[in-house]
This record gives sequence, structure tokens and C-alpha cells, in this order.
Amino acid sequence: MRIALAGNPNVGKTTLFNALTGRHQEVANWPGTTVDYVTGRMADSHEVIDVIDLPGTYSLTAYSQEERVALRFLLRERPDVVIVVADATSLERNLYLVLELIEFTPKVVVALNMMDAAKRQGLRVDVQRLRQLLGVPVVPTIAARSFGLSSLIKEAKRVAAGPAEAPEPPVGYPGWLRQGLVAPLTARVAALPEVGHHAAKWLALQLVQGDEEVFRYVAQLPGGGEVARLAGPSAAAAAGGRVATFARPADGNGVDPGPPRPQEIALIVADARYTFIAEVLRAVARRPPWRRDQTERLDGLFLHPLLGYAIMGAVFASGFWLAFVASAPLSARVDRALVAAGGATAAATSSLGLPVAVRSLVAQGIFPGVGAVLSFVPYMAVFFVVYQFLQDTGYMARASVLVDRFMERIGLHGKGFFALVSAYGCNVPALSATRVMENPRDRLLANLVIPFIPCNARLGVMAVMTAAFFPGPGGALAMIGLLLISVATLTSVTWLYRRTILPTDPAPLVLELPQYHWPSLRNVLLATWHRVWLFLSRIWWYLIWATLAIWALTYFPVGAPLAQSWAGRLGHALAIFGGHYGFDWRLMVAILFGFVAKETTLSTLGVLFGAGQGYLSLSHALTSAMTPLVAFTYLVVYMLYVPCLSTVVQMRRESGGWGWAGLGVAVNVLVAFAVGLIVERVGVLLGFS
Amino acid sequence: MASVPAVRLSDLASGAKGQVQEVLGHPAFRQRMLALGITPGSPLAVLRRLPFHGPVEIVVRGTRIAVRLRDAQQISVLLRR
Repeated sequence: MRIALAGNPNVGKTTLFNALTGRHQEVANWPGTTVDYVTGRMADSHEVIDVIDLPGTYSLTAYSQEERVALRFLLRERPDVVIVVADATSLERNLYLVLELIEFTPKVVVALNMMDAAKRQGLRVDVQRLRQLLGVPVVPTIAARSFGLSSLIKEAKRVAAGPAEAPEPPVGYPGWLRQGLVAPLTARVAALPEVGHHAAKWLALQLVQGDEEVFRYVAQLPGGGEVARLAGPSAAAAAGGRVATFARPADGNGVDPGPPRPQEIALIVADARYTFIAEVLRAVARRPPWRRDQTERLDGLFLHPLLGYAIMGAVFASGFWLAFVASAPLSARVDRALVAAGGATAAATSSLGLPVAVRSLVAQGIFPGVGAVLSFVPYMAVFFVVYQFLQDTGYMARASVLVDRFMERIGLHGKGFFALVSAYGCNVPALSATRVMENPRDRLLANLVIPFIPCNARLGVMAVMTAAFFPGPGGALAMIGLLLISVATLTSVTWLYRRTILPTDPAPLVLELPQYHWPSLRNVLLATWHRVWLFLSRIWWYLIWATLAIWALTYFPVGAPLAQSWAGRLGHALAIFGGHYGFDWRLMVAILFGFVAKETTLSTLGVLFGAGQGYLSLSHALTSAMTPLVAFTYLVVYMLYVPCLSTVVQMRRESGGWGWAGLGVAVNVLVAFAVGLIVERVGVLLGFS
Repeated sequence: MASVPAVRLSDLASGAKGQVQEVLGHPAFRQRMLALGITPGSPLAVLRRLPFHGPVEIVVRGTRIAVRLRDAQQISVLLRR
């Protein structure tokens, strides 16, 4: 048996899902999209039950990518029963999706969630009466305390096993719409294969409202093309004649209003639903007079014109401190452990009498390379805990609202702020954090520009090199200059993307500001685990090949000094180009190798410049090999060019394909070297050397 | 409230109450508003306006929603006296 969980965002749907399935979960990516959905399995004495946590949606009419995925799943996968999770404290809006689902399928059970919060607000719901009015089972639940789950599953099983055709959906639409428009179309849709009579009515209702996703679905069914054309998105013209015969009654002045347009119908349908909801609520819910609740009081603080920004600064600063500073010892430990493991393995393999090349590959290639990437797993894990916590409490929505105005200026989005700021810590989780934006185009844009933000590792290299070349206050100035260049580049590139291939979507920013509540530890940890696991499961393959390639480049030809190794030769070839900037072969090799993980750049430079261990010897080696201008130019290029392997792999995943990731990388390289050239020329003109 | 003229949501001060008269603009925008329950006739209250011409926070059908000022210009409201 398969159960799909549907519901508005922020209604505790995922909490319910976690409570039902525990740790038996798997993350999957919906084909052709960047939307993840989680499936889980429930142990039951009688049968195996698969539960699918659909993305949160406000309605069944697809607006965001998440909504499209949810609708597509319901249309094409046909779960045995749909549990729709409704927030008891916000029934008026939540019942909208419930009504849509009841129209869509007879197999619906409503989980009336957050009953405890409703009680605290003094809100009373007559569940029995609600059940009668809706015509489907309604089960009160408190997902956070696993309350009501067994009766919910019992009802779900009963409904799944019950008859296919349930009583008529409750909403009464105007007669001219029902009989004139929907009924004839329903007959045509119901005749198509795999569509039952119940769903046919809903499909017909969506078609006359110009729902494009439903149009596509109906059109791909055998014989569906013709039916869809009869009432598709361009139905105004196509169905004009037919519609006119069933036109609405003339208005008060006796003027025939003419055939209704799909948008008008959509309004009439929504209005009928909300009218019905209002009636239902009058009958079943008793709400105490509105008073300043806890959320209102907190918002007075968190959204305060002055205090709000100060609090946001403090919240984000402590969040990032936890993620990128407090987790550092953990990262260092992972790194050291892998290097040590490499040494131990090398020792073990030597006693087995394996060739030197293999031992070198293991000790100098795979283990340190893998270690460099794995060492930021602790970053990611702590970052996602912080992120999920801020998200689940409801604070993230407030922060997005506070900064939206500034983000809008540079063509981005309030919801992307956290992702952009966190990219200074690490680009990889920042890319995942763009998911809060429901518009795919906004998300894609954020993905393309985030790599211009120097992460922790790049900042580290920058700090060491600026300190070496610009002692004293000059170092701080150079660092500020670099950061300003990165911000200017980010804004200009965003502007360019907006003016060319990714113009602003006409769709609005609408942010729901949910009630504050304390998140459950289980939700936070499970979400973190899913994200870290997804990253690891995707990166390892690339990682092995990349570390192998770098090891081979430096190892062969066997016994040659570094300058004559393959890496050295490659560096010399690249230096022909790098010469315009004053970069020699060693700097080019360091740029190339930094691709695996930027953390390794300093040690690569150390080896290439023949420096001993320690900071002083490296800085001495660097300053004697480069002028300050070359060093500054190098840092500009280094800061802006292709991010590391992990970022590229993550970018591919978040943007939905190699195409966009490839474009992003190409733009990165081009912009980095173009800005570098400008900096170098301007520097020479100003008399620096 | 017979002859009270409609005002744009973007012009309302915090604390103002009324009901939605009309939602204009791009179809995707109107569809979104519909799904969130912002339909003609639905009661609406302005909770606050964010500084620097930021979004307007409203409460409609028991839900708090932030709307960008530019989008709020597309929503006309009949004020309640």
C-alpha cells in the first residue's frame, strides 16, 4: 500500500512523516527537476506501507516546481490513499487544499494537525461535524508528540480498501459552470484511459481554468490531445463557440457578459471554495477573539525596524560561528585521521610488497585528497543543523523579509540572503540553501553567482598571502579591496544574467510568515543527515578520479623533478597564458590543483616553491618569487575562478544538469581572468609593480 | 462602507483593515494570490510595513503573508470604516 502525504508548507507534514516512518527513509530526486522527495517505509504487522512525503503546496494548481512535482506524483503515480495534513490553527487556508484533493480523489483522509496549538489558542473544532461536512475521515493529530497516528493509519487503510467512488465533493459551483462547461468535458475526459470518473471531473474543472500542467497531462494520454485542445489553456478562443452556448446568465443590466475567460473561471472556482470553507468554519470552529499572540509579540522584536536588523546580525553571526568556527577542530580531526590512515595503509602495503607507485598513490594521492574534501563534512553537518533550525522555527522567513528590499536591488531575493552570506563559509551547503526559493529561475541565478563568493578556504589562502605581501595595515586594506572586488563582481554578473538569459520572473515574492515554534530534534537531524548523505553519495566518484589525476600528474614520469613532471609541463604550457598576468608555471599549477579542494592550495604552493614547513618559510618563498602586484592579481583570479570540485558537483545537482553547471564554470573562469587583467593593467597604470 | 473608494495595498499604513477588492497583474501573480486566499471580498489587515520600502506584512484568512511593495500595488482594498 502506498500513502502520499500532502499539505501546505509549515503544517508539520514532515514531522508527521518522520513520526510515521522513523529512520526508514530514502531521499530521491524527482526526474527532470531539482526537487527532492523522501519516501519511507512503515513496519506494520499486516503489510508493508510506503509513505511518500510530497513537497509542501498551497494548492493543486502548479505554480512552483514543488507544486508541479506534487501534482505530477498524484496524477501519474496514483497512491492508494492521500493523507492531507491540515494545520488546525489555520483551517481557513488549509481547507482549500483539502477541498481540492477531495475533488481530485475519493481516497482522502484529513490529519487535523497541531491540535495542541489550537487548544492553546482557545480554538475549538468540532471534528465530527467537520467530517460530515467534508465527507471524508478527519483525524485529530499532534505529530510532534506522535499523537493520533495509529487512528490515522487505521482510517487510511480503511479508505484505501473502500469503494473507489466516494460521495459527491461538497463544494457547490454555479450551475452554468457545472452543467454548461464542466459536465460535457468531464464525459470526454472520463472516456480516456486510466482516468476514473471522479478525477475526470476535477481534471475538467482544471482544464476550463487553463491549468497548464493538467493540460499537459491530459494531452499525453492516448486520445487526450483532442480533449485537451477543446478546453486547454488557450481555450478562450478554441472553446469560444461551445462556451458561449452555455454562457453565464446576463448581468443586472441585461448585457450578455460573453464567454468567460479561464482566469475568470479560476476566480469563480476559488470564490466558491472559500465561500464553502467559510460556511464550514461557521459550523465547526469556535475561535476566540483575536489577540496579540506569542508570534505577534516576537515579531514586534524580530521585525523591528532597528532591533530586527541587529538581532538578525547576531543570529546569523552565531549561526555561522557554530558552523564554520566551532566545527573547525572536528574538520581538522577528520583530515588528520585520513592522512594518518593513508600512512598506515602505505606501511601495510609496503609489507605486502606492492609496487612503489601503488604505495605512493595511496599515501600521497587518495587519502590526502579524499581527506581534504571529507574534512568539510563537519562544516556541512553543523551548517545544516543551524539552517534547519532557523528554518523550522520560522525565523528564516523573518530574516528573508527584512533583507528582501536589498536583495531585490541586485536582482535577487530575500530568501536567498542566508545562502549568499553562508557562501562565505562554504559554497557547497550554500548552494543547497538556495532551495528555499520556490522560483526555479531565481534559484538557478543564485546557484550561478554563489561561486563568486570566496569561501572559508579561499579566504584562508587570501589572508596568508595578503599578510605576506602587504605587512601591517596594508594587509587589511588589500583584503578589503579583494572583498569589494568580489562583491562588485557578484552584483555585475547577477545584473548581466538578469539582463540576458535569466530575466526576472513576473511571479511575485510571497512569503508566508508561519507561527514560531520550537523544532523537533528529530526533524533537524534527519534533514541534516539527508543533505550530507546526498552530498557524499554524489561526490565520491568524482573525487576518486580527481585525486587519481592529480597524483598521476605529479608522479609521472617516475623520478623526474617536479618541474619536469607532467604537472610541471602542463604548468609551463599554461604559463604562456599566465605570463600576461605575471604568473609563472608554479602559480598556474596551484590554480589547477586547487580545483580538487581549495584547502590544499597553500600546501601545493609550499611544495612547488620548495618551502619548508611553516608559515614563515612559505611567505618568504612567495615574496621572493612575486611582486606585490602579481600577488594581488593572483589572489583576484584565485578568488573568482572556478570553485572547487565539490561546488561544481553540487552546482550540477542544484541547477539540474551539466549544461548550467558548465555555463557557470565557464563564466567563472572568463570573469576571473578578465577582472584579473583589469586589476593588473590598472595596477601598472597607477605605478604599482 | 458604501462609497469608500478603494486604495492600493501598498498605500495602507500598518493597522489598516479592509477587504480585497481586486487583484491585478500577471496571471501567475493572481493565481498565486488566489491559492493563498487573497480573493475579492476576503478580509485583510496590514500588520506592518518593513523599513526601506520593504514588503508589507498582511494577515488574511488567518495567515501572515509578506508581499513586496511593488506587488502590493496590484491589490486594491476597500477600507473598513
